[in-house]
Amino acid sequence: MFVLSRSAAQGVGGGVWLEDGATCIGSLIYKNQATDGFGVAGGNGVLLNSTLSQNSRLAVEVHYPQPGDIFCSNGDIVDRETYKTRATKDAIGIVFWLNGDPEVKYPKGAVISLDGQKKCSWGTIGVSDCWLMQGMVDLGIAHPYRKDTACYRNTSILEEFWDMYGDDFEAGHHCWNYKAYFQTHNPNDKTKNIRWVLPTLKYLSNLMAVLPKVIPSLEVVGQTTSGLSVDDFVCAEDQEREAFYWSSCDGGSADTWECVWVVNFYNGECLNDFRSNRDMQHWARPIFLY
Amino acid sequence: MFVIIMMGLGLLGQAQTLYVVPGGNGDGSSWTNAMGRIGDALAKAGDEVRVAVGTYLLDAELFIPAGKTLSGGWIADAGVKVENPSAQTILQVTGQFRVATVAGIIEGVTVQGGVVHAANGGGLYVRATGVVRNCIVRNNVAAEYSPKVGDAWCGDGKFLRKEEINTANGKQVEGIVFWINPDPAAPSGQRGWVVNVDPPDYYGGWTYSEYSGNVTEKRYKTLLEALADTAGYEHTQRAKEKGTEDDYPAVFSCTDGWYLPALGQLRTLIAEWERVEATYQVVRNAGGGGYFPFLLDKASPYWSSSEAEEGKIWLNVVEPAGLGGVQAVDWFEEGGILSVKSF
Repeated sequence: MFVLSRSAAQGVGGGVWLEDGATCIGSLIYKNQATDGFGVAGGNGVLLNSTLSQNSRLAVEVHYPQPGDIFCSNGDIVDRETYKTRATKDAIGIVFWLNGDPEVKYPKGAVISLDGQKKCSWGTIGVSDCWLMQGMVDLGIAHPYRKDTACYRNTSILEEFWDMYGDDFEAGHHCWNYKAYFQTHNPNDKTKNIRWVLPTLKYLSNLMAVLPKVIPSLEVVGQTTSGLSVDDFVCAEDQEREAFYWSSCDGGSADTWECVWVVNFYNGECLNDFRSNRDMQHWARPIFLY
Repeated sequence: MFVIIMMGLGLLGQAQTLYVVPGGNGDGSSWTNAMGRIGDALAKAGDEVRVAVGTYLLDAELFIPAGKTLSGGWIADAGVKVENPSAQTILQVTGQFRVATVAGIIEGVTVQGGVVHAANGGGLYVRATGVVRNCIVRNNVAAEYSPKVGDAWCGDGKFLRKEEINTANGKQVEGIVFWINPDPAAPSGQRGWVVNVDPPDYYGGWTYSEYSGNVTEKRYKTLLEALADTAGYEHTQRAKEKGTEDDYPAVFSCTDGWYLPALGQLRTLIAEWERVEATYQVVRNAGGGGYFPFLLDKASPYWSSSEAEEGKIWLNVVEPAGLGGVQAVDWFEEGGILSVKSF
């Protein structure tokens, strides 16, 4: 018999946890995993005539995605160094956001396109009719910023407006219909049906925060993927006005009803004012969530 | 009459046994009328639940109360218990829960596939009165809690989900998680960042020193360089070594291991502000917190510890309507402090 050591930690005793006074007799405890106390742990319990075998520290996956990792056409997410040695150069995007809850099922992360960046208007015709476009969350000045995470809903609404009004609603339409190269060339079942969308303000601002990790990956991929211009992504200092990126979030305020939320990738500012009127020409860049 | 009394006492003292077989749909009164679900049998009155050999896929954790025995390894047709290892009663879990909590006795079963997070005993949790006898316990997992953005941090290493914060523990909350390292194997100190729920009540210049050199011994001249900077702890230490509280009041306002975040940390915090502030509302309602800003209510500039060119510091202006912009400003200008800590 031996007395078990006490531990207040969590994730202890993969097979059995014995409280003070509890008993385990004549048992076989094997191939269990835990952070500590792999097979049996607990308080002053009694363990008699039992066998413990092949219990181990909880296995950790070799690679967890990080911002800047490369999303491939078969669903693999690999870091830059791994991608350089990857036999098939089949990147379709770069991971730029990961859910702060590692156990969540969806969305686990967000991916920015390798190319498909386009300067276009957000929408013009019928703006008075579509103020606070149906179904979109009101992100007006009096409301908390970046509350809307519904990239897909917003972009689908924009696509409906495209159907009604044509090419004045180009930003949403462009992203909704974007396909990465490997979605149309040698498509893989796991990614061929991915729908790209115009990001909401939340994701656009998150992208800004991790640009130093995303851009080196774009450069790595750019060595093997044609049609990518990293220079377009971050503008030069004297081109501040050229650095606005459309979100899919309507301005939604009575004072700024003709405006849309944008992020200035020159300084990270999020705004909806006279600089982001719907009919202006700003950048649209597709993302998808997985 | 004596005989009748003895027979009556005998009936009263006889243990009531319930029977379970794979696929059974009876009331559990005999092997031929056996039940199919172990949990249902344990919930009924009785002293012992006998379970026939076979595999039982559980849809919820079992609880074996004190005074009750769960006994496996029975051959239903013969009504005998065997010790043959190949004839197993297997309690199988495929979800994210423990196989059983035992306050009574569990014997002769194989326990496998149990998983717990933020708890102990992946296969079995045995209470003080519990006994595990002649069982096989295999392929179970106990994992520690994985903190999430928006969780409260209590300083003693414990995390509370927002839903767990109450008046009993609210005052213990020292910070709120705003970044989690995606690598769960990251060592302590690199697993994530928390923001202080009672940050320094400071609004002023980054420095009032005449010294014009490089205080933190690092410079981040472009926004991209500064956004990549997460060395707030090191910057804070360097500045404290270089001068006094009079020289660098913004940095010195961060005490007790809290430090002035680098721009990459500050920007990440502000990008996740909505979840952070939602948790802080709960902390405050529970009686905790302190001088915590509500960024959604007013425009405020916040200092980072990232130096730009000479005499300039990267500063993030937070506006009610948006994230505001990042600027490299003269270090005599004024800003507030959001102190952070690594865990």
